[in-house]
This record gives sequence, C-alpha cells and structure tokens, in this order.
Amino acid sequence: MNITLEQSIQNADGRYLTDSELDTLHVYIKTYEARLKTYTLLQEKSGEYILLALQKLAKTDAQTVQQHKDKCIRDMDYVVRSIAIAILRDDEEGFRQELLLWMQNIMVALHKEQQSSRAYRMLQEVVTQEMPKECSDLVNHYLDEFTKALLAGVA
Amino acid sequence: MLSQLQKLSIETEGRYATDDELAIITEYMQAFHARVEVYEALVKAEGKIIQEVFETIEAKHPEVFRGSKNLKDKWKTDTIRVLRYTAVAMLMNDPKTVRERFLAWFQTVMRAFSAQASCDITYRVMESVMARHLTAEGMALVQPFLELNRQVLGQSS
Repeated sequence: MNITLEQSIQNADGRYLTDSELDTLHVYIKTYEARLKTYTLLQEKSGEYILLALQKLAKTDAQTVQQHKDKCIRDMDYVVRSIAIAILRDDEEGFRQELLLWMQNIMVALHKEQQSSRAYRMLQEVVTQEMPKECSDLVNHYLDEFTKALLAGVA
Repeated sequence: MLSQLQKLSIETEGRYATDDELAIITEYMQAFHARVEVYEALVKAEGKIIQEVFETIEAKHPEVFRGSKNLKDKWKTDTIRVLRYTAVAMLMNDPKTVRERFLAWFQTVMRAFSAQASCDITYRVMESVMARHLTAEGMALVQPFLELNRQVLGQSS
C-alpha cells in the first residue's frame, strides 16, 4: 500500500473510504503475493545476487572490485534491503526519502557514482536472470530509480 | 495492519523481517476479502443499525437521552462517527490507529460530558444490533473493535 493511501486512511477522521481508496487497497492486496515472494527471495538470495553482480563488474572494473569489495557488498546489501521493504509495503516515496538521505550522506561524497551505477546495472542483469519475471520487474523498477538518481547526483 | 506495516519498516531497520513478523501481514491479506464484505455490509446498513440502536436504547434505557434538548441529535452524530471509525478500523484491522487517532481524544470529550455510562450502553446495544445484520464470521471481525470502543469510551477513569 502506498504511503499516500496509508496517510489518507489514517486521517480519514470518521468517514468511509472513497471508491478510489478502496480500489488502491484492492490492488495492493492483489499484488501482495508477488511482493511477499520478492521480499522473501531477496531475503534469502540477495547475498548471492550481489556476488554475481560484482563478478560481472570485475570484468570491466577489476581493480575497483578488488579494492572495495566488502564496502560494495555492504552498500548494495543496504540498498537491496531498502528495496525489499519498499516493495513489500509498496512505498516508493519512503524508498526515495531513504535513498536520498543515504546518497547525500555517503555516495556522492565518495565520487564513485559511475562505478556504483555500473554495479547496480549488473545487479539488474542478475535479478533478471535469477528471479521470476513478476519479481524481477518489481526489483528492477526500484534499481532503475536508484541508478538514475545516482547518476543525476541527487540534484 | 497499517500500524503493522509501519512497525515492520521501523523495526526491521538494518535487517530483514522474521517469519513471525511477516506472518501477521500475510494473515491479514488472506482475510482481507472477508473484511471487505463486512465493511460493505456496515456501510450499507449504517442507517438501519443506528436507528435500531437508538430505538432499543430509547425503549430500554431512556435515561440515556434525558437531559439537554438536542441530546438525541448529538448522540446520533457521535454514534455514526464511531461506527464509521469502527468500520474502517475493522477493514484495516488496525486497533492501534483508531485508538491513537480517535478514541483517546473522544474519550476525553465523553468524560467531559460524563457520558461513559451512555457509551457503555450504546456499544453494548450496538453489538447486539450488529449481530442481526452480520454473519457470525463477520461479527467475529467487528466485535473486538466494538469492545475496544466500549472499554475506552464506556469506562470511568
């Protein structure tokens, strides 16, 4: 359920839900199974996906991967976990807020946007290969958002 | 459920959710359609429920409406409001939100008017009236929220 719906329901103040609010709720319930499946898969296998992505990245950025592997894994794990909870809750806005804060604090300061974005592109390839389509579509949507924001330098 | 989802985000900071944490949400999703049916039945029957509760109270507990001239109108406005909150809270299975966003404040108002006894009667009668409009399964979903209303609004401090 997206954050707007959450807020409008919580602030409903003694009225019934509108048809549009009920429809959004129905859509969320309908897509919940795929969301939960995606969350559970990321929970179980994201470590493996991240390693596969870094192996792919090593073909073009071997030195970076060698020098910063642990940090890459830690950061990517954080991003993937944020994506997982955002997918489960259907909370793009929450993800954006968290991502902006995180990138402003860490990523941009390190000036590694190009390599980082390549790493996340590799992760998208792995996700596409390894996850069922209904799950990879959800994850890649968020990874798209993330890499775009990364390259835009969070203007 | 909204509170559970928000709690999940906050409490799983830095980790994934446990099976138990996820099970609470999944359970809700599985029972969602039953909740929607009850919600829609309540929306549809609101007028009748309020009228039947009103008539029962007037017949069996006339003291509730003794006092100021517009007490009956005020009672209706308040009771409709509580019923709507109850329906939404049942749909979302979210006692925490209704308690924090509405009942805590409304309790203060009811106490200021010394209306606890009237609330206690109203939500007891409402339960018996609703049982005539809902199935036993539907009643089982609403009952905890009616009980919450009665406990928060109907008890003296």
